[in-house]
Amino acid sequence: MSALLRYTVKKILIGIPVIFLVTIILFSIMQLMPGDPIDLLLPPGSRVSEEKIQEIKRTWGLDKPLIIQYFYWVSHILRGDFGYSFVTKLPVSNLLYARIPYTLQLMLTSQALAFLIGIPLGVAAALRRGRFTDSLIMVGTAVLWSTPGYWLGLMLMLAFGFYLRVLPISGAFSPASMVLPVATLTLPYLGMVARLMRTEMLEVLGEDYIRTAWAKGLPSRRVVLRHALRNALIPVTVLFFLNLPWMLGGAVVVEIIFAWPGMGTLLYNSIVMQDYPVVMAIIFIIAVLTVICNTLGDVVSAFLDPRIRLEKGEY
Amino acid sequence: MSMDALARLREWIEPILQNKYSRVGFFIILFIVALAIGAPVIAPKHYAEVDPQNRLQPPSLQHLFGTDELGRDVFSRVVYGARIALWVGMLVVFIEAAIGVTLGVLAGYYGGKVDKVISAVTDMVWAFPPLVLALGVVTLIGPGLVNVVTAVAIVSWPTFTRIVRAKVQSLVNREFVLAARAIGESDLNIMLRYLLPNVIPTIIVIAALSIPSAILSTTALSFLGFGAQPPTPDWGAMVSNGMPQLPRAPWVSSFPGIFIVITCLGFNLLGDGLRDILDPKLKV
Repeated sequence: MSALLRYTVKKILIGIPVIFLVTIILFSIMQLMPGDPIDLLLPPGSRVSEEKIQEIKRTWGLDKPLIIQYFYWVSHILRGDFGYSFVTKLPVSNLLYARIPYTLQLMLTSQALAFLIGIPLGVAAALRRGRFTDSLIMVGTAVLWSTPGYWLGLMLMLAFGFYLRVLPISGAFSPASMVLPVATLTLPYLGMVARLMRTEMLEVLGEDYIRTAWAKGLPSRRVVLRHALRNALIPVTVLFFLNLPWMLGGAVVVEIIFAWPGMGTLLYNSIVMQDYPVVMAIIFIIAVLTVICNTLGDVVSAFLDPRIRLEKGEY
Repeated sequence: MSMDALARLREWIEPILQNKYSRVGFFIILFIVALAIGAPVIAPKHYAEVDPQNRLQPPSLQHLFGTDELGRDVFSRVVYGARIALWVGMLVVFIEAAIGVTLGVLAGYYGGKVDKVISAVTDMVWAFPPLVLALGVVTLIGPGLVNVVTAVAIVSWPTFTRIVRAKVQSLVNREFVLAARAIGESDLNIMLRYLLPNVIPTIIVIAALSIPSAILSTTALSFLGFGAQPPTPDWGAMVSNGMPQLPRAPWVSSFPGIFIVITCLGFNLLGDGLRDILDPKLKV
């Protein structure tokens, strides 16, 4: 256990500087962005005196040297204060707190479904390797994995929203509103999960200890479920965590198509309107989430597979 | 010389054709490449030719895939779009490989501090959802196809670095490298002439499998309006063009999307096959 604990602490210590580096890069990106935020704070077409501009800059902290602006920003975000939106003038944190639950709802449901469906498919393909079931699953998942989410979303919208008229196509008003966005997000990932599961299962089924289990005459259900599946599931479990941030990227597009009131739509609208504080906050949250998920993925895999925590190398 | 080249080509293509998946992938890509090269001959109209009299016409013999909101022939635009998809996919992957392989070889060969710094940067870029990061980069450098290519390449090279680094690490203490060092070969020479050739098969596999992701990311950015600008027949931009009239004229969005799926599927199948042939233990 102490090896695992040491490994966990080491992974967390690696994560912290990464987050700081991310804040520096984010801040630089935002500084380099086209457009002067001061223009957005003034009513369009208005003539404002230089003193007034200076006053506004002071209020928003835009007159300080960059390095001060950076530390000012970091010290605030660490307390959950992301400043005020340039566009709506509301605290960014309020905007975010209203959006985050919607995005999480979408992501976690899709993620759970992708694994619940993908794992049995992968196992089935591995157990029937080279036969029709395997080919069907392999081709099906390859097609899903090659499908752009935005297009899949539009096609589902067309089929179930416009032709069959059974499902709502935008907004988040009832549980039924979730069906299409979740399906759009789930289907491509399901393909990825099933493929990884198949690869891992085939690898494990070729190991000596599985051959020993067969040779001992254990019932095949027992060999597959107790011996093979348990070990093959390790990399798939790790994928669950590593995938969460990627899911978030997919969610951006899906949310925009289905007008889902989550962080993705907020990010897109904020980029279009050059609402820097909101963009910085969202990307920062995504970065933190990503680092947390990666750390969790490492730790969980070390917990499940004792060989990993004894290794010297990073990868 | 040409006979020799032909023989080598056959040596390459035969195993691809033996596997049923990679065979399908190979022919799909051949088909898309043929569309791209033959576009001026295959497409009945130029991709930018508008025809206000024939707006949003359903598919017919005259317009195989119908017409869009400006009366442009969707089939012709899809055919010309193959050029953009292939060009963008390969350019992105070329840049990714250039950055990724260089860093991977350096990290794997030198180890120590060089490795630590490169690995930290790689981990950081790797950690981000690529689309979100690419959105950030595009916001910074502005919209446009070239900028989208740059943005996607900047965020997706870590796959190359991680795998190449591990590969080089496993090679660096092998006899032939130690021997090269013993006879006084320079570091640069060892990396270029001893290590790189051994990593090439792996690089080819990653490249084939990275093209579909590159196409999916760039078309997604074009779909969001940050990539190709009108009248460029980018498949992603075409899907987004059709969105406002989706229920009335579904063909405008449907056909370009189908071609994205087909193209990506082709590269994925081919990539899987190449992996089985060149580097069966590789996990991408």
